[in-house]
Amino acid sequence: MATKPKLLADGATGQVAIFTIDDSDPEDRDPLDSPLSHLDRLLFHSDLDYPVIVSKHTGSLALPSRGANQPLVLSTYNLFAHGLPGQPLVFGRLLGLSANPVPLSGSVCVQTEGLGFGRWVHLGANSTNVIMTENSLSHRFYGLSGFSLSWEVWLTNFLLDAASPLPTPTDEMLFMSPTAFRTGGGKFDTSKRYIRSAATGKEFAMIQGRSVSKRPNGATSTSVWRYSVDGYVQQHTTFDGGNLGMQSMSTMSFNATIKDARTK
Amino acid sequence: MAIRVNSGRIVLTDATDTDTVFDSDEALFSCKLYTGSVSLGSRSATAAGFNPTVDYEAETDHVLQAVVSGYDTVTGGFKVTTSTPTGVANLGWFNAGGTYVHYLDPTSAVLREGTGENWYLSSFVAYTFMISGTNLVMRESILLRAQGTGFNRTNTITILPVTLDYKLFCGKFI
Repeated sequence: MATKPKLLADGATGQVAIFTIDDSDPEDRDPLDSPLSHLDRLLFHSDLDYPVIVSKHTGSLALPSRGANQPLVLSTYNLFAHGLPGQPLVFGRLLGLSANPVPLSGSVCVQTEGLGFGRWVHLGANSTNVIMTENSLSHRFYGLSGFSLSWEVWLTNFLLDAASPLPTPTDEMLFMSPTAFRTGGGKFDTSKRYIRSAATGKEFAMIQGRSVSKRPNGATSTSVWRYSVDGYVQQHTTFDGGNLGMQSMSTMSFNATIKDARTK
Repeated sequence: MAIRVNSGRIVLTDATDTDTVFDSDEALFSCKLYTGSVSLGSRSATAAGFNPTVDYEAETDHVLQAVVSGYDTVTGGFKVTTSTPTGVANLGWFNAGGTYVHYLDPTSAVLREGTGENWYLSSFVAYTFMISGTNLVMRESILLRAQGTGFNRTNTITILPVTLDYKLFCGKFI
């Protein structure tokens, strides 16, 4: 059985879809008419939603050193002004921490000294800026050295603080010119970028479920945790035994489930 | 811009024919938007008198909404509201993939009280938006460890009530 992609637009309903068909059934239009019942064959459908990326930004962020025995430090850093009339959804990644880029999804542990303390960052936005926050704690003996994070951020037109965060659809079903192709009321536009699976050329991993796991450390008062995404691991390995010295602990084996993604 | 259709494959590129915007061999992340909020009450662990360390430990999936069968990936944004500064509370909207670590605490190891020293990371609270079966859930992953004091006194650690607002794309790579 051979399959091919098919682009089909229905002028009566305004629906547009790209989906795979079997060569033996070229008139098949079931995925256009009932998209949610044929997800496995849909490549695009105007009734579904897509995070639309409008621009990409790069930079670096210098994180200061933190002395030993610091209480919880909460810091917020502006990465760039987004210029949008709301608080947008952003995607991002960190470079240089691991062989693979580390997705800026949820909390990312960028530094630890093995005793469970360390530095966590989060990517987000407020009304003016795309921001990164830092939460850090340090052990009684060991501080955290300063270093620079190399980041890349994709900005979407999805405004999280708006009552209707998705852009208003246009009445344009299909548009084609030498420089542009648009369809689905603006949901697909070749001047924008979209997240798609990456058979090659992965830009970042999308996490399916947890990125951190934790458990108690036996009868001690310690919690053990492990952050593991796409080969990048930060974890709690050592217990401060006081007069007994630093003691190794059994680490966890958790690894996040991921899906490779790209935008270009 | 170019549309190339050959060998059972459709590829669309940008205005300068530089970047691929759509490739039928690498389908888009296809999804639906789900919005709402989830509020959690306070959580506490208490060690009284000469008792050993007392845990409050839970991995609880709070079902938020049913999603389309087959969806397996969550992304989008979330916002945290609570009464004390911790994590990303009250700072804006943040990327919701993976796990959000809300609270880290070394202070409930009260044997070290008075020394002001961070010996142990004793408590850890995290939240994850994820798909479980055909539901969007928020997994509350919480470990509060109240250390016994060895003296006739009570040690309590409490996580205050928290609300997470979410606007999430749930979907799958097809």
